[in-house]
Amino acid sequence: MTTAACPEAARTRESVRWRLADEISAPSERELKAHLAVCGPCAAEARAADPTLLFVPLGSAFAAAPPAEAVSQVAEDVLAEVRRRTRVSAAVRGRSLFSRRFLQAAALVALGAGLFGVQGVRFLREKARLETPGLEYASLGDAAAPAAPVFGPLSGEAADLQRGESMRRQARPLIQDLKNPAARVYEFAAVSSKEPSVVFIADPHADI
Amino acid sequence: MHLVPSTVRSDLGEAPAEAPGLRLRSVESPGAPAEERVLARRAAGGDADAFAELVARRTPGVLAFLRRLLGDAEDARDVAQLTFVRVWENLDRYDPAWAFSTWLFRIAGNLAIDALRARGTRQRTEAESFRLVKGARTSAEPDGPARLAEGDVRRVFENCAGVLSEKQRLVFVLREFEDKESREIAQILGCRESTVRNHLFQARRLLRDEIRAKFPDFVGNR
Repeated sequence: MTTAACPEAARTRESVRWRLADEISAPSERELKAHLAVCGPCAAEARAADPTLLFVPLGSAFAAAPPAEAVSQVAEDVLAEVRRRTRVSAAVRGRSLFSRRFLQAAALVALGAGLFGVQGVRFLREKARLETPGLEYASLGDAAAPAAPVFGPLSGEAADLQRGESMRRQARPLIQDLKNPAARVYEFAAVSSKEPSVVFIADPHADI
Repeated sequence: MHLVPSTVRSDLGEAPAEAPGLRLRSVESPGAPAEERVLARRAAGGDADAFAELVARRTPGVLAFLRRLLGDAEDARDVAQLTFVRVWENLDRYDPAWAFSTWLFRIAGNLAIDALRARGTRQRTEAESFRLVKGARTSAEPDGPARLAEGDVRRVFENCAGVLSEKQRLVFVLREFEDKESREIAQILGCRESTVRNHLFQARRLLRDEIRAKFPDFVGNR
């Protein structure tokens, strides 16, 4: 078959010219390559005009597919690698979950132990102080504390003022003398029952 | 859909005596992009079967693309595996606004460029191809240019592609071998279409000169 005998020869030349001018459309280029793949004379003439058309047989549409063995090997390796990574990441997640739970439990235990320790120390100190000769702890809430104010049927601003005054009195520090002449207990009375009382004991003879 | 002759031709010159009419096959089914978006979404949600389906569908194309781009079957296999692992790692970042294949080719292309840079492709390819092409020439039939086999053409490409930069080579392969249009190549490369056209223009010009200089017999002396 000669180029002259190919009914597509003129059209092919025209397409090659457009391609050389870089103005060929994608569909026309596909058509051109499809023809060159099956028409030897046109392909030879086209290659002479545009040597890059030599590579038409490498196009995905014309070239042989990769060997099936290579394809399946790649796919198997990829899936094996993904499964391996999935297992590893699951194991890491599992470990980190255990670790987090472990840390939470450990934190709770530490907090509990700390609180118990503080209370325990406080209790022991209190017990030791009460057992110390010469130091008699007077109940701070009995004689020293002022009597609870009795609010009459006051209303509005007057009631607020009276309530404020009462709270200020409660917050004043109370000083309790002990039988030990050198020991003193200072207590800052709480404003409300929810707040802790602050107590200072000053006793130069105390054995702590 | 891209329609091409169903017969795989291993040479350029084997024209049929009578045009038998082209039996057409579809390279990619029309519904593939939508199906693959769904598969990718399922895979991102941890569906291993969906990911396996994507790998099965796309491995032949990716492997062939990388084989053409890298010019080495072993490197192509390695980069193909790395590509799919990278895809799996980044499935949650896949934007379904893009075709899955575009995203896939982007990852494969970037990894291939890294591989080309890493191995200093120009010197190595030139040395290897010179040896192979020399062998091919001695076995060529008397009417050589008209009877080029696919393997011979591949070796010519490998020999000449050394004049291209990695980007030019990637654009040329995507356009000439993978039949991608400039718009999609621009998406794959993450650049403008004008840049793609410029790369393609330069690549073709350089290759034409290189082929004429090195393989005048294969393209005919004009």
